[in-house]
Amino acid sequence: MDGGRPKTEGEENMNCGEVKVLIQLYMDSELDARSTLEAQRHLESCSSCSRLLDALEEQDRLLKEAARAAVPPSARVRARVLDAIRDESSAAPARWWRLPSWRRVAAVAALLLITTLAALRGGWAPGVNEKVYAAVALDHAAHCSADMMMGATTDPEELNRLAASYGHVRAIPDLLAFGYGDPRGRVCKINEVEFLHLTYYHPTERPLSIFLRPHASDGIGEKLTALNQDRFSVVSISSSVTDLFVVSSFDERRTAAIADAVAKQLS
Amino acid sequence: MAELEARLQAFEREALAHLDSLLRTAGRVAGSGLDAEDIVQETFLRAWRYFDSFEAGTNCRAWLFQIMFNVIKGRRRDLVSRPETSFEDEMDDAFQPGNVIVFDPTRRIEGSEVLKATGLLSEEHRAVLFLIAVEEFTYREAAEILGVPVGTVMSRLHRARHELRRLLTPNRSGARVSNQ
Repeated sequence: MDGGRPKTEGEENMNCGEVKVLIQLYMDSELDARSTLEAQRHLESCSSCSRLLDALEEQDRLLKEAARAAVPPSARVRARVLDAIRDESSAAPARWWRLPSWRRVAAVAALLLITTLAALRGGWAPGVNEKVYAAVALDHAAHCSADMMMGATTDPEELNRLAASYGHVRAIPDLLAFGYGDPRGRVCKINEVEFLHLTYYHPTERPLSIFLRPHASDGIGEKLTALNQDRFSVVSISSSVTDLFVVSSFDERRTAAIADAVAKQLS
Repeated sequence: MAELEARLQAFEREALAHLDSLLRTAGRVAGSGLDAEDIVQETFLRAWRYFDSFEAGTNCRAWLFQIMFNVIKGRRRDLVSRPETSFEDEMDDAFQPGNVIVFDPTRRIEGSEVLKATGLLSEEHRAVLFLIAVEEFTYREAAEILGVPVGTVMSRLHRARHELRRLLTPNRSGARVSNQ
C-alpha cells in the first residue's frame, strides 16, 4: 500500500518494507506482542502485504496437509525398531552409560574410588584434583555424542566468546590437524567450578572433549599429566591463566600429543 | 527382563510416539541415496542407548529430531565418495530439468504440487521448511535440531518459502516451473 515509504515523524505503524521483512515471523508467531499488533494494523490496511501473507499461509497449509496426508509405513518400522532394540539389549554388555540412573550412580562412585586409589598409589595428596579428573571423564562420557549436546552452541562467534571467558584466548582450539571438527560448546559445572566443555567430532573416531577454565589453585599442575580413566584418557596442563583438560578414547600418549598442541594454541 | 520391558514401555510411550513425524520428515529431507526407514531405525536405536539420560517431561520430539539430523549428516558424509544421483533426477517427469511445465494459471494449486516442488529446493532449505511449516517447531527448536544459529534458520526459511512461491507462481507464459 505505502510501498516501503519511510515513516513520518510520530508515525508508529510499520510500512510495507518492514512488514515484508517481518511477515514470516508474524505467520510463525515468532514476533513479540507489540510487533505483532503493529504488523496486524498494517496488514488490515494494506492489500498488497495482506495478499502476500495469504499466499504464504496458503502455501504452508497446502504443504502441511499434503505432507501429513501421506501415511508412513509406521507399523513396519515400529516392529523393526523394537526388534533391533531387543537384539541389541540382549547382545550388548551392560555398558555403564546404558544403565539405569541408580546403577550409574554406583558406577560413578566406583570410578571415583578407583581414581582416588590410583592417585594415592601415585603419591598425590588426596584432594580435589583427582576428583576433577574423574569428573571431566564422566562429563565427557555423558555428553560426548552430538545427541547429548542438546543446547550446546555451534555458533563460532559464541564459541569464541566463551573461549575468551574461560580460556582467555581469542578463539577455541583448532583440532583439524587431528581430523576433528564440528565443535560444540556448553558451560558445565564440575565440582562446583564452571568449565567450558567443547566437544569435537571426527568422521571415524570417537568424539574428543576439551575442558577450559580460568586457572584455579586446586592442584591441577603446570606439568602435562596423563591419566587413564576407565575407557578414556584424561590429560591436564595448566598455565598461570588457564587450566586445560583433554579427554579422548585414544591412549594417553596420543591424547597428550593433542593436549600439547592445544596448549600451544592457548599460549 | 522385567526391567527391560518396563524401560521399553516408557520408550514406546515417550519416544516411539513420534515415529510418524520422524518418518515423514526423513522421507522428504534425507535426499537421494538415503533410506528413510534405516535413518529412523538408527535414530531410535541411538535414542534408546541414551534414553536414561533423557529427562522425562522435556522436549523428546525435538531431541529425536536432533538425533535424526545427526544421523542424516553422518550418512551424507559417507555418501560423498559414492557417485551421487541428484534429487531432481528422482522427481517426476514434470519436474525434470529442461522441461517447461505449463499449468493453467486459473487452476488452484494442489497440495501434492507444493510437496513435489519442495524437492527442487536445496536440502538445507527443505529441512528448515519441513521443521517449521510441517512439524511446527519453533525457530529456536529448529536451530537446536540442525545445530545452526536461529538467524540461519530464519534466512533459510525465508529463502525456502519464497523460492517455493516462485516455483509455483505462473510466469508470463503460464509456466510455473521453467528450466529452459
